[in-house]
Amino acid sequence: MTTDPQHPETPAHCARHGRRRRLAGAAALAVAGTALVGTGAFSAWDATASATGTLGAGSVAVSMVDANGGSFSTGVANLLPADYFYRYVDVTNSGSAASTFTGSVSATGDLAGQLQVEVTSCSVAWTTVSGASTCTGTTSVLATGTPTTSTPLTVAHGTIGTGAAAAQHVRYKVTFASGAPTTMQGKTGSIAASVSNTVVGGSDRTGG
Amino acid sequence: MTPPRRRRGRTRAAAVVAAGVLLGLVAGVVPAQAAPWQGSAARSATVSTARVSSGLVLVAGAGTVSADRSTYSMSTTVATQAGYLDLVNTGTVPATLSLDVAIGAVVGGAPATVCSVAWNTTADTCAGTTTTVSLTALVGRTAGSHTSPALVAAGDGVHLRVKLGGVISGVTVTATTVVPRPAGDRTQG
Repeated sequence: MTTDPQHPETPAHCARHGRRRRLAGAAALAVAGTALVGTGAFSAWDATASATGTLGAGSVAVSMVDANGGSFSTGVANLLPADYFYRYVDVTNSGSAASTFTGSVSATGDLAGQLQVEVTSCSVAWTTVSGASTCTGTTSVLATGTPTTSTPLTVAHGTIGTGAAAAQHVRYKVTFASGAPTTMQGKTGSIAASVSNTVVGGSDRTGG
Repeated sequence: MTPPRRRRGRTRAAAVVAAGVLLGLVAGVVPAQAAPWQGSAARSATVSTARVSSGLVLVAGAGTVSADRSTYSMSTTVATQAGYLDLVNTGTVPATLSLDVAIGAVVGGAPATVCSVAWNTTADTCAGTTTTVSLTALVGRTAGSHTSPALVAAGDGVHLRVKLGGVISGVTVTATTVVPRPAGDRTQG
């Protein structure tokens, strides 16, 4: 066996070779450890947390409920000038949240422009006492005017909470114009009232 | 100095492109509008107005009623004649009815009489209460008027008898004013 003059020892005993082997071994261990960690070999120590929240879509609905023992739809015949009649409804917000409501009253047919309308709310239910329309709470005039088909009377109902308990008690007083000409005799028409609300989302609901 | 046409075209095209880019940026920045949800409810009622009118109807006897039912005429002779006529509420609401009576001569007695119920034209009797129409003698004629003491229901009437003789003159009855019931609360119909 020949001996390299620059490298007299066998490779197994060569100090330089030994250092290389140690470095290579350490590198191999490092790579293996990294691989183990990367592949989740220690997943027994893993922990998972989760949270759920109930979500529900809102709803929008409104109803006009006959009140004070009458029916809005009951017709009235043989009106004379200055005759008047009342109709009562409870405007009920059947949706899922308080909302602002807007109403409309229109007159159609031959009587358009001849029916004066006053819309009044009462803080409690309307009653009729000895033939007189009565509010034992606080009244608020929501609108007055003489609607036509093309120009209805706009009624600002304001904000109404949800449920029957929060219903707005509304009275419509309809008066046939005292100055109606004789040509209005025997004419027919109709009076119509509506209430609506529009809800637009896009609000930050993080807080509920 | 006016730029060449080609250069103006390129400038215009560049402006259009820039505007488009700007619009695109604005559209991208403005958030999409949330769809509105709407609730609504409606009610309606029919209404109609009254008619107010009256008309004369000849029930029996002498005389004639005009086509428009506003006037009754009877030409009397020496012989006594009677005409029975109703002043009917032809409107659709209770009303107070009125009529005028005019005779072309000065007469006495009670030529015009109202019965609270329909006259028995055969027996010439009134089963109810009679009311004499008050007439006033004027120059060469006699005239007066009558108004129903209470509201007359639609379709009902004032029952009048005109009975006259011994004069050669005419009798005219004219339907006049109709005053309907007072205006009021119609909530209950």
